[in-house]
Amino acid sequence: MRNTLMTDSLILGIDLGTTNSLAAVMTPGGPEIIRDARGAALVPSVIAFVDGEVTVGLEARAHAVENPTATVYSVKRLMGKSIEDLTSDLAVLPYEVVPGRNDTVCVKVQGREMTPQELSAIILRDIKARAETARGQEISRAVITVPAYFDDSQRQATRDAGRIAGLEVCRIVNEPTAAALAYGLDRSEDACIAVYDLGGGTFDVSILRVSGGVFEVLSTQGDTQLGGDDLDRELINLLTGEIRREFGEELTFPPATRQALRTFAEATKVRLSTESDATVEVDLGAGRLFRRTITRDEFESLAVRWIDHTIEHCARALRDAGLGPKDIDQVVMVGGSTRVPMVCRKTGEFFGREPYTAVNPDEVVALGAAVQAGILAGIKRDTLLLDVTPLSLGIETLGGAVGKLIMRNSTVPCQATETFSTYVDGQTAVDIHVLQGERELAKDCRSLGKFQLTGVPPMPAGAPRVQVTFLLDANGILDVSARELRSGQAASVQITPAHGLTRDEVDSMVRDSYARAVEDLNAHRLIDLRNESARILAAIEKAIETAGDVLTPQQRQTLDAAVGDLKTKREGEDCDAVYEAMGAANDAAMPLTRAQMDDVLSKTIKGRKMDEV
Amino acid sequence: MTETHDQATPVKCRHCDKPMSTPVVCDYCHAVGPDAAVADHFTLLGLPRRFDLDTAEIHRRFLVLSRHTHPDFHADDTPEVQQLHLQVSAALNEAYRTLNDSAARAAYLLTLFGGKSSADDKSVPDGFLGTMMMMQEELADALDSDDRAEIARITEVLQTQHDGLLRRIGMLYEQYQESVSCKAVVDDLLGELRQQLNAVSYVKKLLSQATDAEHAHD
Amino acid sequence: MAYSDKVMDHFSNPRNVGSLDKNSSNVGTGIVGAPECGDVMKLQIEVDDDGQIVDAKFKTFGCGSAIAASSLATEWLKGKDLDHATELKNTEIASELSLPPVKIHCSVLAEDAIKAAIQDWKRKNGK
Repeated sequence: MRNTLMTDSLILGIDLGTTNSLAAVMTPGGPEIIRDARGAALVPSVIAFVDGEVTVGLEARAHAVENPTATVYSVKRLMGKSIEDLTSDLAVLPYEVVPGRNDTVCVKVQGREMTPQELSAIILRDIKARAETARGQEISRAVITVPAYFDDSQRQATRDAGRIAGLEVCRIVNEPTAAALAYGLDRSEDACIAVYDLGGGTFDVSILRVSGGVFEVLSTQGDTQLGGDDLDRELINLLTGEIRREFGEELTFPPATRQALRTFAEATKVRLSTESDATVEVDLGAGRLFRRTITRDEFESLAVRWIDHTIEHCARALRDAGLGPKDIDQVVMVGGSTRVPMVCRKTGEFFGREPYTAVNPDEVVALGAAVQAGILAGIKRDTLLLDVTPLSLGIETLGGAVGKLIMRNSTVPCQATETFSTYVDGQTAVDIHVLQGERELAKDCRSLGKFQLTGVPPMPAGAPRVQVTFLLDANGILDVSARELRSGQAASVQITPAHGLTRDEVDSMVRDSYARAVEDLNAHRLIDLRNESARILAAIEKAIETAGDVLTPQQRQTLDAAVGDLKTKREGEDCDAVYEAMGAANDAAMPLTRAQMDDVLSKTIKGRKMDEV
Repeated sequence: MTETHDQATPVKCRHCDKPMSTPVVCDYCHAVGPDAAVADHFTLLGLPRRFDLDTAEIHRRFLVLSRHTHPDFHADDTPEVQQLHLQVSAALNEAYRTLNDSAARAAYLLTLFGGKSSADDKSVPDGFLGTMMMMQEELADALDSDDRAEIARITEVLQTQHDGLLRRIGMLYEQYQESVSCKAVVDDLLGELRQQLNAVSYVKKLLSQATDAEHAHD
Repeated sequence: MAYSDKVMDHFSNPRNVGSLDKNSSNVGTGIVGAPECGDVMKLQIEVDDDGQIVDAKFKTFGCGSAIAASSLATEWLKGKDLDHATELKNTEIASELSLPPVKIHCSVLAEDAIKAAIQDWKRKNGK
């Protein structure tokens, strides 16, 4: 049981993106993006393992070309997936991905296997630390966004990553919904909006009705394996194909070259957003230079099938919402990939209106997460988000079909109960296989987990009443229970996650990371204290120059000793010692400070008449 | 504001003792009512038990009640209170989903009025199943030969049938309101409503298959 | 966990899907439905002069469980005489067998269909 006060209520809003991550907080003036000392908000979702050190962000991204096998990016695409799901991704990733436990994957880097959850946790810990520095306070709770089309396994994995990073994840929010929140925050008119969110790795489209501060999602569609990375891959394949044709079909691309090609492809895509052509030069070594100018038309002919997929999703989302394009008042573009001109053009054609591009496509999701954080913290009470589950949920029935309990686009939280029975006389156990998806057959849907309801008393076939209950919370995460009604016996239920970590596995990772976090925490604190003490020393030095003769010899001696002590202590690693030395130096400088104050006062106020001041 | 439904005495809020217009949440102190999670859909939304409801009003009440009960506004409360809000919210969402869809509203109302469930009474108009079987086969053939025009024709026929059934159901409920005191008439009406609702169920299933087929190549 | 092989086989390779001539006086046709899920099933039996069921065919556009159940039912029907046909039951005794659950209405659909087909034949043949 927690009893928090308002002052404890800072919840961080985090956009954990495929390409970039960032954070924001809710302030009385509205949501604000967390920026570092240089004003930068985006942290590239890249982790580099170099020379025994782990770096995150811009620094890590700089390592990508020299250390392609030890620089990990686009981890989000690996969350909650099995190795079979990732075949096309693996072909272009320069780092090693291997099968993990429970039908998941691991990234193998420098001999160590790490789960996507642990890797995402590294990024999240960095985001957390940056926010704590910027706000000057400890942060232990967060709202993290995910693609609307993320399934249960992917959402659990994101929540696990937050926990490992030392954050209590208060809510998992869908990205397009978060964007809608940020977009609609200062608007009072009722409206029907479509949010088109094309990021690095995922695509979502959500249709919302906004009225009186309530943001109601009507439907959502998407693809968790469709994004800017795919457009890059088209360019990479074009280049590799032509390189092979020119320099030999048997040519292989080592990780460094693959990474270089990826960098060129991305840069080309970005350039073609504003220019009509872009030139690529690749040095293949041994005097082989590959040069190619790609036109925007060429790029668009490669990109068109991906963009057309997104338009199909838009059509389906409208149908599910029972609306047509003309019912939409505004189409809001979110995600870096919406900068590709063809995306805006095709979306505009489909909806029959110019898409709204005035929101910062990189920042709007984090801002929305901060708004939701504000609602949960009790700061914002006039806004409510009613989101939906993107995929139908059900169980496998005899014969391999799916019995759906919760339909897609059902508003969450949501509960459903259905009663089933047995097929053969005397059957004493029932297999409950939980599935997510729209297909008719279990094998075509996503497996979320399996458990057995045992202890059913032997009865004729069709007699038992097996009641299965699904409870979907506001995060879109599922709880399943089953009991046999006739016998009145309570059933024992254990869920084995199909694509994720068990509770124990997450707990042990949290313990590991806590140990590491304490180290990290100290490291951060030391940096802060060193900086602060440098400022104090500089200020004291300046004060001595201007007003040093104000001190008595005794006072001067004490001050010199304190300054000397601080200079020594800040070279060491003992945070508490530095902190104490800072305090002592400040105290010793008191007479100086007072003298300075008097000086200022006498120059400005003393001796003047009251009505002149 | 809304008609009071033909229910028992109005519930009083256990916190402030004021009368509650719905058992979900108190209009004055916003405490969640103890019976909120088990009330029927109409009671939950504070709506009368009728078929002909204004969908705009249903939506308005849904939004108002959501604001008062959503777990998001209770993230700092004890786990027990949070769980209560989770269940009430789930019940409210289910109530809205059911009452907002005409066919679902009609079926739900029938159970409240004591009509038989579809498990206990599977009857449909004479020859109806034969027609359904035939249309299933026609749709299957049209899909096999990818005959888009035929798929569109079948969809239109089904949509017309669907709309006609719902109109008939609406009329039956009107008659029910008028004859509610006469048991014999009421029993007949409930029986016929069951039949019509069974028919709607088959038509809806086939219609969704046909519509999916129509848009398979979009 | 191991499936009942017989059941799985009947789902992946349903037997006796098709139609018989409904106008023939030897054929009884039953069309039944489950309004809970909107599934419709047609089951036809061909009965010889001795009152024996010589052929049985079904057609359903329903859920997988119904398909498997109908397939099993038609296999079981062939060679039975009319009086015993209505005794259709799942007689496999399951010891420690764990299977996915069935939708309740599906397991009765096949039985309903057989009864309807028999009733139709009897009506046609004045019995």
